Order: sequence, then structure tokens, then C-alpha cells
Amino acid sequence: MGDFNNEINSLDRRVFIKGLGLVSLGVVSGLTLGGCEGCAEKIRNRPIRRRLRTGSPEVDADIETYREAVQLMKGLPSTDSRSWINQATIHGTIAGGFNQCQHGTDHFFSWHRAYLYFFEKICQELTGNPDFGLPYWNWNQNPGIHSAYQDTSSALFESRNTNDLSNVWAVSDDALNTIFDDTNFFTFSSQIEGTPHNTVHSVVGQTMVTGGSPLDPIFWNHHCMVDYCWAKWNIEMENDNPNDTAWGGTEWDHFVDGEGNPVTMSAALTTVLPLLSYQYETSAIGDSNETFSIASNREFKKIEKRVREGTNVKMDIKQRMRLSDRDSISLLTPFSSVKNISGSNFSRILNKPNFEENIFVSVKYEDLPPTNDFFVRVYINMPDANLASSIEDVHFAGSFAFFGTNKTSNEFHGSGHKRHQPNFLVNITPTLRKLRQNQLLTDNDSISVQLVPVAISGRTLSEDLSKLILNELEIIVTPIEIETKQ
Amino acid sequence: MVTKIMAIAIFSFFYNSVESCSNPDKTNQEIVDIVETQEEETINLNLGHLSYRQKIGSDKDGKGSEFIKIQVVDVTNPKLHSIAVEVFHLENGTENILGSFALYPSDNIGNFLIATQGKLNPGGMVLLKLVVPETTKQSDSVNITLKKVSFL
Repeated sequence: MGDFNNEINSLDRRVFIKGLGLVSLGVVSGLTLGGCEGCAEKIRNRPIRRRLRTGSPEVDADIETYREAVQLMKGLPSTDSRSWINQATIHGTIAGGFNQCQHGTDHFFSWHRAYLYFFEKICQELTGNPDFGLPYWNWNQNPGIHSAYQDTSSALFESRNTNDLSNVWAVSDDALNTIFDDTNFFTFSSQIEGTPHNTVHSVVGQTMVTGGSPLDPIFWNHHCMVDYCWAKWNIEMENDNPNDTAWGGTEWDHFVDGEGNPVTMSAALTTVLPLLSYQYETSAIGDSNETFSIASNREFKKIEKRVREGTNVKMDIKQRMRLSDRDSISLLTPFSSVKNISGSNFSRILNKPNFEENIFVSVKYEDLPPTNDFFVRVYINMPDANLASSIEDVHFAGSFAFFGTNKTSNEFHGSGHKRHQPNFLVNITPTLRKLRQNQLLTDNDSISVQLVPVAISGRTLSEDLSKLILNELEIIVTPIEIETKQ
Repeated sequence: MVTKIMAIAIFSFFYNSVESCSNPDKTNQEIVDIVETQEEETINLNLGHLSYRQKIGSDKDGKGSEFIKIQVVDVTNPKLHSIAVEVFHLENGTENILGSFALYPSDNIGNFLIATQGKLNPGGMVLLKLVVPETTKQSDSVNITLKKVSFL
């Protein structure tokens, strides 16, 4: 299993080089489910995350392994990035609040999945048990905290306000049935976070109600349940994750693997972890029962394909204004939209500080250069924006990154498959507001957009591989709040 | 402008005062104070004002909305008491719970969505109740500031 994990990690690096988002997932699935029988076997036997409960010898063994892992992590020196405190500090601290964790953003699910994934790897490594799966605390079915966590002599103990959530509405069938009826990833995530997730933190209390909550061992089982909520909604109930490359391409590099080596994980890759790296023992959440199972390889591949591809999450677009059609752009020359849009189109949004709608620049590309790794800075009303322009400038709106897509990766999207066209969104509402505050934008002024390609640090953009085909540049207005990659 | 429904407010004040005098360490869930607010205003919920209601003015906000959005823009809670907010649809004196959310950490602001489940009717009200399940002292400071709820 260790080899498989290494393989996944090395795949991750290859993916990182070859492309982000759906392209990268295509690479992962192509290699792991296609020609690698050994990998397929390891996927079939991946660790099981079981529901915490009494009366199950397997769960008892998982709890004992977890207790041992926690004890070992608590005994590691502070110089070891896998130590109990260092792992918790990635998330936050008791006195200082949050550090790297994602709360109130579209990466609440994905960031915590990555966090748990690498934590589980550390547990496996320290205990020498590569089959260990972190058990999840299904607070809906088992609202009491397992007795193993209440033993004051155990490494799993932490002082808490309560060990019983039986009468907590937020984890009841009524609460969860409503949330699981939601088929939109973003609003489903927001509700899971605000209702059961936050409430469990809050009601359990003490360490759990702080940014340093991972110091309480029950944190990891609680978040494992949150992760199971996502997995159940996505895999068992057949709802789709977003396929937006800006979302999927978001990545984090502040985690370490089982041996303490720094690792990188993208949001897109987190979507397939429950299919490739671990699996959940199914259980009921509200009225959604526990009958799920994957009966065959064919069925597995079908599910994997759906999970990998995601969906265009419904966006209620109130306004759509095209700034540019198909155009060939040189990477070495910044692009500025020729067509301008009057600022008066957005005055109703910008004049109210907390208007419910947001204004985005939407950039669609027809083709990407084959090898260059770069990102694109977006400026508003700065026709002379160039490589020397500061990101501190009031006209700077944000950036998005992508990495040279090796042409071979298109094989996964060719021959009958619709070819993937990268689409990026950058929220320009704050920038437009700032420009207005600084008297740099009035209703009588027009709005233009500049795109400035910038090489990833330490690399150069080469002239011979510098063509970028822009398919469409638009400004859209939507009430959906999307935490775009900045 | 905030207007209070006086009878309930007076009752609440009286009840609160009596409770405070007789039992300084108390749970707060019994105390109900109802306020209404105009657009653009913020609402404070605290141990003395535990609830807030807002009229559902139009069909767009009623049957036409999928979510109630609640923005918590400021929190005072130095002792990190557990804080939750329950959201109800109130019509003809009947409260039906729509959902709840909690603050995490307990002094953290945030935006929260509660599904309407198609249950909102124009003329009814959205009722928010602050829930502090732990026992608090009279001197404890717990306050959350909300924006007027919006309908999505």
C-alpha cells in the first residue's frame, strides 16, 4: 500500500506538471485504472473508513490503532512536522484562530479532505498499519461520542462540554434530509458547514470550539464524517462536483506525507480520493440509507468517470456581456479588450456595499500552449498593464494559473469525448468598488479588461510556444458566491 | 429604524429582570424579545434580545426563494460560549423550524444559508432565535450582529 501511496503522490507531481483540473484527473484515472493491474488491486483493497460504533471488532481495532497513532504523534518532538501540535497548527490554534484551513469558502470540503488524507497517512506510517482507515463519527446515527474518547487515561481523551448530541437539531434527520436534498455543490457545502459541522464543534465545546480544534482527537472523526457527507452526496447519491478549473486547480502545499515530506494536493484530486485511496463503509444519514455498494469494476469505472468529470454547477447568470470573441494572444504581449462596457451597467451592484450579486470576468480558452507553465493576472481599466505592473495596484483584480498541457493529455479528451476548454472566473467586484472609491471609475466610464501572462517563478515564456487561443471573454453577473483563485 | 413590539418587550424585560435577580447563573433560552428592522440596518442578538423576526414581503421572497441568507457581521463572545441560531418560519402564531447554524469558532463571523424548503409565504415572518445552550453569568458578554436577512 505504501508503494501505491508513493505512486499516487508521484502521479500528483506528474499531474501538476501536465495540467490541472480535469486534465489531471484524466491522467490519474488513465494510469491507475487502465494499464496498471497492481494499482487496480490496491485500489480495490484501499483502507476502509468505518462508522464509529460499539460491538464491531473491526471498529475496535481501528480505534486502538488511532489511539496508538495519537499517542505517538503526541510524543514526537516539536521539530517533527507530523507532531500532534504541528498537525493541529496547520488548521489553527486555540488562542490565534485559523491558520491554513478553509472555512466559509468553496474549499471547505476539499481542503479538509486533503488535511484528513495526509493525517491518515501519518497514522498509517507511525503505527506501521497501511490498512488503517480513520473511523468517522456519524453524529446522525450515533450522536454520542464513543466511550473510548471519554476514558481520561486515553490519548483520545480531551475535556469537552458534552459527549452526547442526542437532542441537537442540526444533526437530526430533519436537518440533514433538507440539506442532502440540495443538488448544488456550493450551497450543499455551505449548509453542511454552517449547520452540522459548526454545531458539532460548538456543542462539543472547549478545544473543539477554537481554531485549535484538531488538538481534540474527536475532531478528526468529526471531520471524517463531514467528508463522508460529501462522499455520500457525490458518490452514493450521484450529485456532481463542480468542473470549474479555477476550483479544481486550487492547490495546497502546507501538508506533509506519512514520512514528513512536504506534499502538494489540488482540489480536483481530492474529488477522487474516496475512490482511489480510501473507501467509506456506508451508513445512513437521515433518510439516505446504507445500501450503497460498488458491485463491479464496470460500475466503479462509471462512478469514477462521473466523479472525475463533475458538472457545470448551475449558475444563475443575471447579466452576460461579451468583451471579446475568439482571438489569438501572444503570451509575451498583454491582452486588452477592445470592446468596452459602460460602468453604468453595474452601478446598482456597486452603489450598495453588500449587494447580493457579484461581477466576474469569465475567460474561456480554446487552446493552451503545450509546455509553458504560467499564470494570468487580470487588471481592470489599465490598458498599459504589463509584466512590470504591480499586483498591489488598485486596478489588479486577481489571477488564475494553469500549466502547460502536454498534448498527449488531450488523448483523454479526444476520440469521442468533448475536449476540455479551460474556463476561469475572477471576481472583479471588489476591484470595481475600489476604483469607484478612488474616483477612478464613474457611471460614465467604460470598463475594459487586461490579461497579463506571467511565467511561473524561475521560468521563462518562450516565443516559439507562445500562442494562446482565447475563445471568449465576458463579464457576468451572478448571485452565486464563488471563491475564485486569486 | 428598529421598532419593538412593546407588550412582548416589556414582558421580556420584566421576565429578564426577575430571572436575573433571582438566578444570576441561568440558561437564556426562555427569554424572548421580538424586534423588527428596516432595510440596511443591522440587528443585535444578545442575552437580553434573543430573537428577531422579519416580514416576508413579496412572493419572490416567499415561495420564490430557495434560501434564506444570514450574514453575521460581528461577534462579541470572549468566553467562547457555544452560539447557535435557529431559523423559523412564523405564520399565524405557528413556528416551523427551517434550520439552524452555529458559529465556529464561537466568535467568528460568517454567511449562512438555510433552505426554505418552499415553506415561506408572503405575510409570514422569518424568526431567528439566538441559542446559548451553556449556562451563562449575567456579566457574560455575548452579542452577535446580523444584517437583515435576504432571500436567494
